[in-house]
Amino acid sequence: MIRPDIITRRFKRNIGMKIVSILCLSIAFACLILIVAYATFELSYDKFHSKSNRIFRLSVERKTGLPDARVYGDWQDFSKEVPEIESVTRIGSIRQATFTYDNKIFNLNRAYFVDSLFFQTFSYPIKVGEKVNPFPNQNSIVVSENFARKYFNSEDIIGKTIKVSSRDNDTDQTYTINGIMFDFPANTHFKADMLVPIPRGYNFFFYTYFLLKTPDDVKTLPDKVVATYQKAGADSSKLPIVRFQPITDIHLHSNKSREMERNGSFQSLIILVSAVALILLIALINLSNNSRVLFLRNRDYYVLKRTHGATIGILILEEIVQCLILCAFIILLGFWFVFYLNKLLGINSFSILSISQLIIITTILLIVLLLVMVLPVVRYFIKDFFSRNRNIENTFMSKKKSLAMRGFVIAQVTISIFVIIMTIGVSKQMDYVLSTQLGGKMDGIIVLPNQPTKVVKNFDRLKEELLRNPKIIAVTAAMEPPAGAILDKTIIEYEGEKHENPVDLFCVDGDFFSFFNLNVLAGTMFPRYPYTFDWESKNINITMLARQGIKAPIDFQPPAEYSDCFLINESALAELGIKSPADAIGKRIKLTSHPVLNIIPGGRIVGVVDDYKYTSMFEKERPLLIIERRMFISNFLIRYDTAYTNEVLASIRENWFKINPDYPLNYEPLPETYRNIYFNEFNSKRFLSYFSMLSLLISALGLTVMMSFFIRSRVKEIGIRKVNGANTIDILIFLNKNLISWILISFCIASPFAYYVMNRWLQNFAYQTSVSWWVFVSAGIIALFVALVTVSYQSIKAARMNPVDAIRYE
Amino acid sequence: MIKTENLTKVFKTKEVETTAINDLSINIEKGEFVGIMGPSGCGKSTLLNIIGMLDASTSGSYFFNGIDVSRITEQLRTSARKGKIGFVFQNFNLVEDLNVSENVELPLAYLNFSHKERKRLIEEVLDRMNIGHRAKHFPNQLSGGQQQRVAIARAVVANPMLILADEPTGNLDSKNGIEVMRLLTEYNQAGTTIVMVTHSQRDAAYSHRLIKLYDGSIVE
Repeated sequence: MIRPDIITRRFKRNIGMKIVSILCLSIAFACLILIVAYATFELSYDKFHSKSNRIFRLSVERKTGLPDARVYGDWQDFSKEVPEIESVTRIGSIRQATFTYDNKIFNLNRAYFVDSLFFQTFSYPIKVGEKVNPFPNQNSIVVSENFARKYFNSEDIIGKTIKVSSRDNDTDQTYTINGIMFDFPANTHFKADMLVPIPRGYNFFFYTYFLLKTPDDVKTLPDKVVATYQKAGADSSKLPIVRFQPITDIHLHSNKSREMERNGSFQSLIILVSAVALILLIALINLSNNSRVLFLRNRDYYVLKRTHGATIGILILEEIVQCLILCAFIILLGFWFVFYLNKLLGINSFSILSISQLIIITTILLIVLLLVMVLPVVRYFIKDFFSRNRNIENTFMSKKKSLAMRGFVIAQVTISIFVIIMTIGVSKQMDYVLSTQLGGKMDGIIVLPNQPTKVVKNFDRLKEELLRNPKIIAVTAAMEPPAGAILDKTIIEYEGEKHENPVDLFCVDGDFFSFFNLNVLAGTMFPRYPYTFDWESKNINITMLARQGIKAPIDFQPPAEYSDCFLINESALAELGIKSPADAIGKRIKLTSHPVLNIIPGGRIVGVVDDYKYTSMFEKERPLLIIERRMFISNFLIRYDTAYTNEVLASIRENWFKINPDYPLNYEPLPETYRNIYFNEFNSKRFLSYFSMLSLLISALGLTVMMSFFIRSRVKEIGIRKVNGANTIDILIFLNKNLISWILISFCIASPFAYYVMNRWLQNFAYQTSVSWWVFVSAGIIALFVALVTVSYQSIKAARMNPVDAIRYE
Repeated sequence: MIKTENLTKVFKTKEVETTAINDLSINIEKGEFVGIMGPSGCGKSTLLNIIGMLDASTSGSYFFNGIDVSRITEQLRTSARKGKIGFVFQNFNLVEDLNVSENVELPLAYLNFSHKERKRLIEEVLDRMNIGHRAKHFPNQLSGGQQQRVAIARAVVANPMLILADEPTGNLDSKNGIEVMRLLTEYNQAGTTIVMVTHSQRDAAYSHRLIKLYDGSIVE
């Protein structure tokens, strides 16, 4: 007979251990729900497109550096020649875009050029306007609901005209809004607020998507692309690697330069899933150990009930009811944690997962919990538990089983040490990354990234005004933001001879190196740059016109031959075969292939700098040719005295709006720029820190229960030892030496695994910190410290026990 | 060697207060073999625990070797009895996870004897107890008599001046009981003071004098 009052009374017994189980499992359950929701979301990217299995993005990988996510050209001829291709559509980001409406200028971060097949390829539905081709002419654009709400506060905007300018075209173009699309879903690899038809004759780098007739056709396409390169006369030893990436893989599996948005990381997802699996495992080990200890403590109850006629079935049923009550608490508390953690982590698990998915997860967990708790009890009952006339504790808590419990504890501590080593290792690498980027000079620098051309034009004025403030130490500008990718390359002539490999080109302001306190290894910094923004702009226009056969105006004086000045880095020394930095000074270089940066066609090397690591740490420092230009330095950097941050920011704001009254001011501290670049890595570090704390907490709770069990089984021995002369310290050593040996064993198991995984993770970086011995030792010491602190109360209490009570204990 | 003056021990719970030893004054000289008898619950074991400094009295004084140890801390009591007092219990109180040799080694381990010295003393005492051949066996592999001989070996291995025996033959058959009493007598004859709690008239006959307790007081 099962009576609710007796069930409740029994549940209240050993409530401390039950609270430990409830707490550990509910945390693990909450983590499970969160990770399933997160993984479901991450894996759902771009699957909503009705043709998602047939859409592939083309990328062409050269042998050096990160490959570009974009490719050059329109690929229309290729798509017509290859029967497997249904259509090709291109997307190009409009860099440093601004738009003007009602005489106000707004920055636009999510504006793209697209071609007419965009809406037939992708499933981004139009809300208002023509559904299939909303671009009846070159001046029609489509905007998002968000754009309409944000800038017009209304969706009644069809037919309104706006002016758009960008880095590539600083003349305002007038467009008419011809459609409003639904906001792009969160799980798409790019989100757009404005789509503009690709201008006629505009042939540049685009994100290029192919819609194939069947998904299997993708296998033959790379060879066909390579064949076109060969047909165009490419050197067979320098053919690129061609990849067609499924659109559904872009978010998690693509790590190319110039991605449309920051992508996720499959590796980070795996780290998170593994961490949750380990947390769940530790919590289940706790539950298993607690159940065994509870079983031993209840043995008299089972024997008495059986002696008085209870069937084994009734006893098992009673156990199941006890377990179900425990599970109910675990699940309820788990959901409460999910509500709390949703807010903390910014994940809405309950909207990502359906009710049926939540029920399935809960049911699976319930079954696992019941199996872990009830199965051992059933096994004990079936195996002669009541028929043998001998000491039950010896039978059912044999040395073998006690060893199993210790094994479980060792497994728990091993997992904790593993996670701690990973956490320390990942932190060490990220610290190394930040300290190596530009020599770790990050404090007191703010970045004003990706400024529109008209703002770049005013840079010199802004710099002059800002430097009037003595709290602002230095101002400079560069073509790319710190840790951004340097993508401009050029073929060069070195000392009159064509150099085989293209070299990266990087444009900076003249004060760039002194801004970062970087020294030259040989030669000098840049001498005074003689040209202005307007001269460069005029020169580019003349060069463009010259290509169309139009002669330059008579008053235009082209720069003299070899009049430019170059700095090169150490890697470039090796690339050009120059033996020492001093030998490089005065050598002649000619830029032969870049369409705009070669407005001054050639120059001499004036200085050599070391590999100062401006780009991200994912790629090795490449040979770099550094030149000074006024038009292409769209990322401003300001160094200031950190004691006066507010004053400096106020000064920047004042000067900005004095010089660029129509343009919003966007800035971020340099560490923030790095955090955006290494978002996934910092996220892994953050989550690993949480998980290491959680795993330590759960393991510590498990150790508390194990220690209490261990002490209870050793009370008499403690008494005997005290009678025979052991003092409190002797007993503390006796009790804790086992614990220390468990942690030592765990340390020995965890360390090689962690070493292996850590090394694998570090392979992502071109520059890696060493996996030092102290990382492992620290993890071991942390685990030992937490364990000893956790059990210290129980150990000291046991060590101070009255020996008379102890030797009477049975 | 042992002198108590007006020794009283009261056990208190929330509801009940029980006087186990009531105003007890005794004197035991060095080399004596004293038996303590009385009905269950009369305070025999409590008196033995206080004499052995395992427990403290509620009031009164206890002098061990002329030093008042009735008001010292548990830590000091441990130091005071270490190596000077050996204990023999009715239920042997051997550590199940330690073998015979390791059980006997316990008091030596806390007295900082060298390993070599410990080994010699253990071999000597086990041979004397005639269980040297079972040195590597665990308690559950021994008979009751053998277990009690191990317990006596542990009590005497550090050559204490006092052995306190709490019903040492209570769990033994008569043959093994006689053997245990013979061993205790041998040690007494060698100069060790012995205080033994017993219910057995036959065992009591081995002692030089008897203290009879009733409700915590001496009745005879």
